[in-house]
Amino acid sequence: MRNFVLISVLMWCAMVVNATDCDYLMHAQPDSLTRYRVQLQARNATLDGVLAVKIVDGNINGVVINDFGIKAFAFIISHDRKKVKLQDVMPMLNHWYVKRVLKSDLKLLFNITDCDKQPKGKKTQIEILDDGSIKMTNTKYHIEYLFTKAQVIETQESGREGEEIELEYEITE
Amino acid sequence: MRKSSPEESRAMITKINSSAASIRSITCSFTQEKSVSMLNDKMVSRGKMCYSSAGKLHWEYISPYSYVLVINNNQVTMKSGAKTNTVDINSNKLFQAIARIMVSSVTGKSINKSNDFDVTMYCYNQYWCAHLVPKEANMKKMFKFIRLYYNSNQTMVNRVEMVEKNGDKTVIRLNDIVTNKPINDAQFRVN
Repeated sequence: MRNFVLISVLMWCAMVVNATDCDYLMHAQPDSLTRYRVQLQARNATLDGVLAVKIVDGNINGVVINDFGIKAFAFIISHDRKKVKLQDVMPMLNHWYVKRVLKSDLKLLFNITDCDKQPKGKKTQIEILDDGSIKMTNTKYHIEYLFTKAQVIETQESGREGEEIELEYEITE
Repeated sequence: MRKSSPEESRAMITKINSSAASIRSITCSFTQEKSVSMLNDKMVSRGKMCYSSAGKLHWEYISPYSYVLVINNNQVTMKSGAKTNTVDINSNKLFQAIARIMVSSVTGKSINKSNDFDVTMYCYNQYWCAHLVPKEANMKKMFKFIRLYYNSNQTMVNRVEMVEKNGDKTVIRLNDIVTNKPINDAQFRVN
């Protein structure tokens, strides 16, 4: 009888733990882009720009573009958030050692939940700032990332550029 | 648009160069549209720009979020909300390379860089286009081509298209362009 009660209590506890919803801090949606301001600071490089993510075919597809709209790199994170694939990495970042660190940091970033008290990586510190930004520091390679969800400002579409102008610009070889 | 003859191309480039050489400042608004195939989506941003031939640039996004980038005296200052960050452009090759492409594109000076690009000119009525194929190794890895569109009446770039190796495209349209109007130096400072 005592064993039955003990097992019941343990099962109840397990159910309570499972029922606690942990939400990923980095969100993505299937029907629209989620944008974050991103600042990446390494020893000799600073990258400021936008991280845009969207769920496509069940995976999280993302792209980091710099302030002028030029792509720094793109990535695909598997639906279970366990695999990261980098692609279209700009030449200045396209080195195996840079890509290895980027992949590992992206995997960590997309696996942080609001239940995590401690970072999951051994050499990475994660801090949630007062404004909700996520600061991630790779202490081994001295890389600092800051992700801030972009506050979207609604503006009226100007509609200046129509199809007619687009057609005029078609080039015929 | 049709490919211009060699004579037409020479005349167009001469006119563009002469116009670019006379530019001391540019003020305009812009729309930036980024197509990313792997997101099946477009990212549209709007903002305003000031450029001074002294190498100063104010590039400000107004929507979908507020963000300011200023290049002044080899310093790049970025402001997002209350946060301001300044870095030395010389210590940042990545930014330096990108800023160089952008500034020489919006000012139309890219067509002068024969070491960097193979240039082919196209025309259609008052519209001109410089089709630039990168020669430099890193640029070649990034871009399939860059196209600068001009209105021949102004001989000013009014649209920049940057097409990446995988076909993803960034289109920047410059509107309400005003040239050689004095710009308050405060525009090139971030508070």
